[in-house]
Amino acid sequence: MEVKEILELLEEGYREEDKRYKKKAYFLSYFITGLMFIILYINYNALLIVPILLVISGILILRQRELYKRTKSYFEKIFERILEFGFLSLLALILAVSLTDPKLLSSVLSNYFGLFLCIDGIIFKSNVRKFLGLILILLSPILIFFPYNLLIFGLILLIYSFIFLVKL
Amino acid sequence: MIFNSEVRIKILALLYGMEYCEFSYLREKLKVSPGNLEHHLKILEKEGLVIIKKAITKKGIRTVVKITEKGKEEFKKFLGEILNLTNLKEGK
Repeated sequence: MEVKEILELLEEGYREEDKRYKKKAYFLSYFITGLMFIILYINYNALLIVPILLVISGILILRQRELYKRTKSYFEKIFERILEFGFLSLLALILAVSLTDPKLLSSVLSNYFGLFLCIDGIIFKSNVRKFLGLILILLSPILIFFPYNLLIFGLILLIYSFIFLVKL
Repeated sequence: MIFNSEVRIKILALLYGMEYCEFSYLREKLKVSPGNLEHHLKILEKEGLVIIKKAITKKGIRTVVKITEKGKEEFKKFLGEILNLTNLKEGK
């Protein structure tokens, strides 16, 4: 057995990800988030539905994790930590934008989602995630000029969810 | 004794960068039979290098394998030795 082989296995272990589980988890989270924005666009009074959808998505993802997740690598652990802080920063950002200029919300969110998707793609060597993340980042300044930007952003997330179901 | 088996070295190398993994994942990755893998895992568990946990789920019995701190230390030592030997061989 060669040293190179051991080092390759070591690296694989560090960045291993259970794609079967992740495809389902990404599909669920992007689909429900996209749906949330579309519902909010149609009726802004349906704000109450947001926490309900978030809880449903959380339960479904946790269930998938308990039943199907076969591995958890060190990089996944690190990325989860980054996402925890990211979620906190996202909440602060949503609050700040909603109180100042709600029209910017979809643009800010698009940039934010894109950045995290790119980081994900870089850590786990996925060109699909890097590419889709880049599209969201580049789209963020353009979204400001569209009248239905929240709807467009929601639809993009729905499309992404189906892409993730096929290729991650 | 522990490191004279290629399968055991591979198991520890994979587990070193992981929080945990399932038995079926190791079997697929290392391309070994379930019996063979179980044999090697039991040796590693006996030496305190890995922890094996079994749980009953809707899908059946789920076996999760995790490396211990001792396992990490031992593997690090082994890797250091093997890298030193390779450097000596190459005359670095």
